[in-house]
Amino acid sequence: MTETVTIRKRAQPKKRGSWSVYPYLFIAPFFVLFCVFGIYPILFSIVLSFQEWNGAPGAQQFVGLDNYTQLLRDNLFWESMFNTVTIFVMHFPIMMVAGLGLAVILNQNLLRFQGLWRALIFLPQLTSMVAAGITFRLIFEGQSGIANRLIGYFGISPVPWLDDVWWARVAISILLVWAWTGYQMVLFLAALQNIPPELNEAAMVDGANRWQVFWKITLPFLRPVMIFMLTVSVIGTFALYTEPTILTGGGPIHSTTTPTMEISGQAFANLKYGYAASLSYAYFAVVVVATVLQNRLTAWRRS
Amino acid sequence: MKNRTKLIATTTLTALAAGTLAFVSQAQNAANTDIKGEITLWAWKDPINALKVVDDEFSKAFPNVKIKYVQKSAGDVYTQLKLAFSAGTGGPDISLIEDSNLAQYASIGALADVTAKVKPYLKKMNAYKWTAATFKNRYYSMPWDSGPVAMYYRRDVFAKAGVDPASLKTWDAYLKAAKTIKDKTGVKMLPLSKARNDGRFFETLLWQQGAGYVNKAGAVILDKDARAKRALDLIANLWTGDLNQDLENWTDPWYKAIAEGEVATLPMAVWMGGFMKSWIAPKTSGQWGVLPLPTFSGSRSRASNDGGSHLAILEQSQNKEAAWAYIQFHLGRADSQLAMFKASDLFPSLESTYSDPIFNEADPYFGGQKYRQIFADAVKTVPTATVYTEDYAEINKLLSLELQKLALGKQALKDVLSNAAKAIRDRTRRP
Repeated sequence: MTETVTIRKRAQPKKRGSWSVYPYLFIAPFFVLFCVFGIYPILFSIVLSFQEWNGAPGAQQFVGLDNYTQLLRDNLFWESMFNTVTIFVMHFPIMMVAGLGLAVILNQNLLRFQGLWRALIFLPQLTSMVAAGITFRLIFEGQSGIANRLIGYFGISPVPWLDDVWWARVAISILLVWAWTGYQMVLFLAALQNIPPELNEAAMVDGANRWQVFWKITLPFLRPVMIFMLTVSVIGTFALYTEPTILTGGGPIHSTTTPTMEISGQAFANLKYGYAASLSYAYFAVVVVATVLQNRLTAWRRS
Repeated sequence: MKNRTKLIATTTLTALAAGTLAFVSQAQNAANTDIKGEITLWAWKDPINALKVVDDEFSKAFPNVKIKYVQKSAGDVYTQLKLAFSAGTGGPDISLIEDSNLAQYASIGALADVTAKVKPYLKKMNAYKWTAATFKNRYYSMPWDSGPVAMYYRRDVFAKAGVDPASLKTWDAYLKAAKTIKDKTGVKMLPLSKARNDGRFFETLLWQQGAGYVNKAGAVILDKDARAKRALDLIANLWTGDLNQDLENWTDPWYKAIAEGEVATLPMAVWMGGFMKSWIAPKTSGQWGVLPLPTFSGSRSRASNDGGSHLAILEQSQNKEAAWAYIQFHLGRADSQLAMFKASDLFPSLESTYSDPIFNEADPYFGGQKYRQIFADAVKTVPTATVYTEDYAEINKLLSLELQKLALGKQALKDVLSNAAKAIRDRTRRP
């Protein structure tokens, strides 16, 4: 009896202005961890980016804007930005079209074993990128790799997949398309299934053909999900690390080194923590600008 | 007759040496109970297995010291040492560190100064090993194993091409032999990656001539020193003559080329022989031979070094005394070093071990050659060179990029060393 009374009491809405510690306690774990592992490193890196530090406790030295002026003329860093842009341009359109195509096919109930197909196409997403990287390395390896043997059957001469600046970027793009198309497909499928079937039917009744329905109804409905993919992919490509590290080691001649690889190399191989922090902020600025630009462009198209 | 005298002399020497060793170990048999505590050691798999071979003896001599091994990959050891150092806690008492990585840890203050402790060993270890252990004239580690380089060659390929291996006295003769072997057998002279070159062979050639990336004073020499030019020219000649197998080191096709006789020679360090025997090419037993390196014009040196490792005490260690007792016992005694050598093929830097009979054993894998003796002779003549500096990782990377540009035709031969020197000066602030 007393128990129910207390519960009722608690359930009563509080007066305005009254304050209880419990709700804050309950959400505290997230915020504590976020502050320790999120906010603190971000703020610490800002300070660090104006310092020179080799990791020795208490040995930070303030160097003003030195790190930032140095990074402006750091060709390896800007090359790593350029590498990322080329890899993005190479893989994103293919991945998007393939994801959309697969989603449309699997949405039309034309195939048997639909669930199986979806699972198979999504499977690379669940694979460890390290294992995939090693496997792709074997596929692309020299003359004897499977890729070169395969195209050899069609009379094409071997391609220097990992030994040429541009082919190495192509190899990474192929790995990315393999790994991420399934993910795009799932997003497209979800969006496709949200399109009310009445719309398509109404259009058909009005005399539109399948192609017109796709262009005038389906695609506009998919626009939000496409913008989402674009944003996520831009950020994701700039943050690439595991795939190129395993597949190409960033080479040949630095051609597949991404900004994150460059930053971690400066910090942990060369022990230039301050400089690496300034690179992180330059990298952050570029990604923010890219994302904002993208949002502007897509918003402008909508209006 | 000559041989007989030699044999008698060797036996007498060995007996003498054994006698001295017995005397020394007897002196150490009195157990030291004053030094106590538990010490932690970080290393990777094979070295830990080697160190453990000596542990029974060690615990007899130091019954109150307990040793805890933590096995990690080399990459994890290096990263976690840095993190523990920055955090001020969490590191081991002792860590295995390769020569190439040592100076970086010494330069940031992560390692304990052991200058006074290693003094008695300065003359006993290979002299050139101490360069990597030194930072600003202080010593920070104790050498364990050395990486003397020699030329492994395929007896069958040389015989088929009609080339006498003994004729490889100079690198010019090596290039000539490479052309003959390629023409007669189709086999390439050595594996040497172009687009994925890691700079290690260039380093070996520099070191052979007693040069590093920088001189003793720390100034970059690449664009000013004829020795660097000679090393680069040799590599360029191998590439333009199509005398190399374009394979990246430590990849499957590289292992395959070695195992299946697709390369005629391997200018590599002593540890490579152990790897070939045990897992890279065990089936090629009897087909390999070993020669000292060919010489460059203007230099007599026929030896170089690649790799090798040390044990170092961390500055954080709370029990440096016990840590040093461990290191001294495992690395400073010929008995221990020999036991570990037999167990693991880690070639001792301690020169008193070279009189052990194991160096005189004929090895069927190398066609009955006394291959350890060849490396023992080589290691005593390895020149001192400043290759493994505190910024070695960065310098090696920058040089490799310029070599790769040359290999892919993106840069002229004459620009390689000046561009490399410029990039290195710019980023390391060296003169």
